[in-house]
Amino acid sequence: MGADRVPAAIFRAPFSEGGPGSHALLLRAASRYSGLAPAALGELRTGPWGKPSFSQVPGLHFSLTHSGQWWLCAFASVPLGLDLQIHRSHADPGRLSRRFFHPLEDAWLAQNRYRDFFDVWCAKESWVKYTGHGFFDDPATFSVVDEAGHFPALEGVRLRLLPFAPGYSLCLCAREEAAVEWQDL
Amino acid sequence: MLKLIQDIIYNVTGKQGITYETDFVQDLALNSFDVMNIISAFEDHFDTTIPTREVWHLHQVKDVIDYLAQKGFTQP
Repeated sequence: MGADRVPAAIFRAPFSEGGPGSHALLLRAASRYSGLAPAALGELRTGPWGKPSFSQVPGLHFSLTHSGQWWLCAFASVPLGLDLQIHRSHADPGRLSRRFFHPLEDAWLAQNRYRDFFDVWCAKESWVKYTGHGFFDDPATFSVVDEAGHFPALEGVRLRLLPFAPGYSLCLCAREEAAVEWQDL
Repeated sequence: MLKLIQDIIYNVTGKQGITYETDFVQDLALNSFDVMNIISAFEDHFDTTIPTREVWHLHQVKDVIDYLAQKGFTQP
């Protein structure tokens, strides 16, 4: 691990109807990561655009995501954004890309018949989770593909596509390069 | 309008049992990708463009019905 890399932990848990809900999983993961009892974390509150934080541990940065059969939450001492997305077979990537993505992204994706659509989706969502704005920012107003056609690329942050289960895309966004440790919840 | 919403959500996510009080996140566990797909389906149905920033305040089905009514979209 490089000395300049920020440690980050990503907790993963199966996610399905009838199982523990996202809030319960978050409390369990945050408690384990911080070493604090769930009650000591304080209230879960949301910022003006909906980004959650714990009232008693404002320096505890986290980003949670769920898709398909999985729930994930990343923790670090710095802001970060994490997004997981199962590749939905019924989705029309070209249509969604033309509607919601930046023209640079759409042109880049069209070269390969939108094969990497879900990677681009996750990169974009990890960024809006990092900023805390969510999609209150129009997703077509920023691009994770640069003018030279590099992907993922966004000035000022590191977008890192992480390997996960087959049929899923996953991206972590942070200002610094993160050294990721996986933990099963 | 409830029937239309039920049909769109079923077609996009496979979820059923939608009522006026259904919460998209708490009850259906929808994520942003699901929501974008649903927006796109509404746009196609009403032949319009819905600004994404306007939909994130809509938590329940009844909020969507109110929003669409405010925008002048009606469904028998």
